[in-house]
Amino acid sequence: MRRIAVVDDSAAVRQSLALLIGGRGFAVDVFLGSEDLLAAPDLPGYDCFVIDLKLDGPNGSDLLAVLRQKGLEQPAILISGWNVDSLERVAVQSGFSAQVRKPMMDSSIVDEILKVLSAADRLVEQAPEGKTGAGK
Amino acid sequence: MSDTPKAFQVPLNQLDATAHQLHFESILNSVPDAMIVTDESGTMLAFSRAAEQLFGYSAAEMIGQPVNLLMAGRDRTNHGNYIGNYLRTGNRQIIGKGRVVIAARADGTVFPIDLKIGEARIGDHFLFTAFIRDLSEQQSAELRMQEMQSELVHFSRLSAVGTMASALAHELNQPLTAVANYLEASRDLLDSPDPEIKEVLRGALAEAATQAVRAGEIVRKLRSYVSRGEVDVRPVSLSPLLADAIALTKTSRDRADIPVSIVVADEANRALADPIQVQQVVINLIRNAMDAMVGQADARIELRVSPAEDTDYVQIAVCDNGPGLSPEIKESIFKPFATTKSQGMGLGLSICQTIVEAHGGTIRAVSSPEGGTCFRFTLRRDTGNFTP
Repeated sequence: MRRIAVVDDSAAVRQSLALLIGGRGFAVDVFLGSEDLLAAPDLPGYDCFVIDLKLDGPNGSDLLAVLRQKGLEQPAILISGWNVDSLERVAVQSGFSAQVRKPMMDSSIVDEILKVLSAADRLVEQAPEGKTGAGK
Repeated sequence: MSDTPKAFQVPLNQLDATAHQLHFESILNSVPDAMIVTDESGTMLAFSRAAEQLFGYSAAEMIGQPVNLLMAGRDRTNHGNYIGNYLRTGNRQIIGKGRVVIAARADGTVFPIDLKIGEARIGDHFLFTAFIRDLSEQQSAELRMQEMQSELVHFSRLSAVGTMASALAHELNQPLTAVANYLEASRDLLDSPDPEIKEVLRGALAEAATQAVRAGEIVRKLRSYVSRGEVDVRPVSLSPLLADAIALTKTSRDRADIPVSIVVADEANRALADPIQVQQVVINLIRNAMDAMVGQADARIELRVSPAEDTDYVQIAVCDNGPGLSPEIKESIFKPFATTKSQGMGLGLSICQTIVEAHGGTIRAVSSPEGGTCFRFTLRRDTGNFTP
């Protein structure tokens, strides 16, 4: 089962995402912030990170930078409730593979997860050296 | 959705037993509330991942153990009687309702939980599914709400209604996101024949309802903040108050070069107003005017304070020489969520109207003769015999 890590500081968003994404056949772990995620026992075991932009403490972009520094190259999706035009730019510049605005309509978040995972899978196929898929 | 994994393209009730079990386990791992299934003797049969986190026991440790291990005090010793009573009499003390009880973690600490129990009958036997929510976390959520409110108060002291509205939009997006997710997940779960899944569905819908109410509360609290009877009305001199408001609109560089002039008629300078709230209105009107004239070379804004037609009132007008209002938007301009801005929420003018009306005044938008738009609002005139 593919494993997804969700980081969001709102308990309601965390729980509802866990239920939605979990119901679509993924194993979901939820985290309330950077510190929480970085303390997770098996970070390399996740197939995708779903990270809220505004977190208590370091924000979502900072968190992804730390993950990349640690050599974790799994695809990541930025989610945000701040209605800013620059969200796409922030997402691309920080190395996120996709971004979804809150409130999320339909199952857009699950669609994005499936998309970035299949993109990452294609990358692995092209580079059979055993590299884990990097989102681009 | 051509990307959907194959297993999820068939209806859940047509899955074979193994897939069925896998699906149940995935639910057990992702159900947000701690979920525990017991048989009628109170022996635990399933223990969700959230339950592991909440209680500090692993599912492997707990399966086969009596559920009263997780209870504290009176409930711990009496639990066997509760189930016995129910099976004998059919008298429901807790099934189908929620109740607050005290639970015990593996490390011996106790904490308040909201406990809901659903039942399922399989042949002659009962299965009980308990959904457990940690109330200590709910207490912290309430704290967060209070913090947010004081943040809003803080925002409003420092800046304009627009900033408040943007913070409000973000706060609203959180519960709305949760509602959308819970409903979407519920749709996925609808076709499952599992009685436990039905309870998960019930829980998800209840949670969606809670979050929808929370969204409503945020709006209500904001409204009550701006409109509650606590408008701190006192005699004020409008000239310095408006000069400060103009200065506050010049804080961002792209707005600083639009000239804003002010003319105050002496006989209209004294009004009864909450200075901060009136500043919020004026700042919002000026910023709207600036936003409407981005890139316009001869852009200018004029504030005029004059006696109103009704001599008990003074009138404050904020006029620009921008493109003016289209007839369609003019109709709805003070309605919440009416906006022409790509990033706007359409709350600013609605809040301005609330503030002005709380002061006993009125606000309207008119086209100015030389093009552009004038927003005019009224405040009660200070006649010198104000008593608080």
